[in-house]
Amino acid sequence: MSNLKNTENNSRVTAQSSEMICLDNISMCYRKQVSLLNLLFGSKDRKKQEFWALKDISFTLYKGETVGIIGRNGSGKSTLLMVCAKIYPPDKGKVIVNGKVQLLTLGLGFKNELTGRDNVLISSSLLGLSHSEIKERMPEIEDFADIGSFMDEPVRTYSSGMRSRLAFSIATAIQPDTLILDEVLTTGDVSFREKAINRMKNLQKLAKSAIIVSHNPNQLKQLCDRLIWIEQGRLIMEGEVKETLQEYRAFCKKPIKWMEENPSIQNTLNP
Amino acid sequence: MLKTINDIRENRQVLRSQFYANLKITVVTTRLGVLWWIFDPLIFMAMYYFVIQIVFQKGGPGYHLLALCGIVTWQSFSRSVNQCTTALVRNAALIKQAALPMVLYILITPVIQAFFYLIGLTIIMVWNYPALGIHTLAIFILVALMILMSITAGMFLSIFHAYARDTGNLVSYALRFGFFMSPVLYPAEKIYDNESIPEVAKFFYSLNPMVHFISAVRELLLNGRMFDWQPILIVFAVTICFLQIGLLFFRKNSYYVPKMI
Repeated sequence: MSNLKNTENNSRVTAQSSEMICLDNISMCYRKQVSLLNLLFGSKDRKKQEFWALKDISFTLYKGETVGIIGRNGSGKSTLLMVCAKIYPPDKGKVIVNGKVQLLTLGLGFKNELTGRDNVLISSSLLGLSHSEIKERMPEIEDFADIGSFMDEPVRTYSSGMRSRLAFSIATAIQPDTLILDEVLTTGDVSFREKAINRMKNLQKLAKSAIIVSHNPNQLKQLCDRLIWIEQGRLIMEGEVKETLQEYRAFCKKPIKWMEENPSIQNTLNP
Repeated sequence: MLKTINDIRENRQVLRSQFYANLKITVVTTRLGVLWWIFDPLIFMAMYYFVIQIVFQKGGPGYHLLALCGIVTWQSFSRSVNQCTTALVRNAALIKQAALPMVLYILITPVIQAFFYLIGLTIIMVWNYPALGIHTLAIFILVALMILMSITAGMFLSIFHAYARDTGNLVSYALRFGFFMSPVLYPAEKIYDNESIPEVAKFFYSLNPMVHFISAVRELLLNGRMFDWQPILIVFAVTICFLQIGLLFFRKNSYYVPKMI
């Protein structure tokens, strides 16, 4: 019976093609590594060995939309992105992903000893490009990264800004259906950051969707259509960029006071 | 197994670029570069030659080639298995960023080691050129078998290693033990012809696939004869069976690996 219900649900969700990513009551749990000795003689309390990084999170990303995720360090942002990119299977709940999703963390598979050009080859093949496609896009990638003759130097000699320039130009050259950025736009100098933001806007025009994690309110305002705020693995607020940012700021200044003013949220965090 | 072959086909680009990258790193990170590929087996040979032939006065004529055959083969096997074991943990950063089939990470190292193995074997072939002939081509069967054996071991060990890092240590001990339980520094006949060893022990000894493997390599490259196909065929068949089980095991258990590494 429950099986039947599941398949119904499934068909309902996949029927709408404009949904790129659909998370349904996702929970993620990390189990702490326990040594054999502890396992034999230690406490039997399983709950202590578990850490729920995400708890009952649901949200949908639609086609052509850019959603920002905010939250304090350790609130579960990165884990949530990994679930969206289908790298972590959730322990509870369901993930439906349509199209190609690419998580962009700087320098996918970069080998420090090899040259920038070699790394373009490695990185973009990991991103699913064929050899001829890489050759075709090499000039474009080189042009966008704009690091000059350093293209033929080993990546270990790069400054961190140069490294992220190269990484960013590779990752956005492939144009996946959904691009996931984990605090990537914060690197590089001002001129590159602007180039990067322009490129993101272009991607948005091409009806590609994106999820962005950033601590920079201006960038979020520039790029995002919606914001999601998570705290302690739970979804606190989902809505307009300005409103959510405002609440988030108020919370960050005085977390305890804010919680007292919003007892319903406090109750969900500490049941 | 079909699904894995499909995975490989779809991601052959990744395999190719990883293969290229790994080889290139060994070249660009050292001053001697490509020469290391040749020096590595020879240095090991020199060390064991010194101990066995000069210190213990054992071995007899042609011992250096006998040892080189064993060392090159064992070295390649043990490095493959060792690196397969840690493959998932070593590539944690990649696994957490690119949603590729995880089987790929296990495949890369044995293929690279097979490349080095072929270089080592070529040294032996050149050194002992009178033994060359049409039968020498059968070496490719053995190299393929080596890749399959390492991958099979990797299917199980890499998962164990992801769940408990102790596996890596245990594998190192097991390989050291295997080094002496395989005819690396001595011919397999030393064991089979020794009458003081009980038959049961000889039977267990013959269960080690590397016994037959190394003997076959020597038969080909040193004696210049086709190897006895029967034991190799059995090793091949058993490997394929275990590989299939291994692939199922891997598929079933790799699901939660990203979280563990």
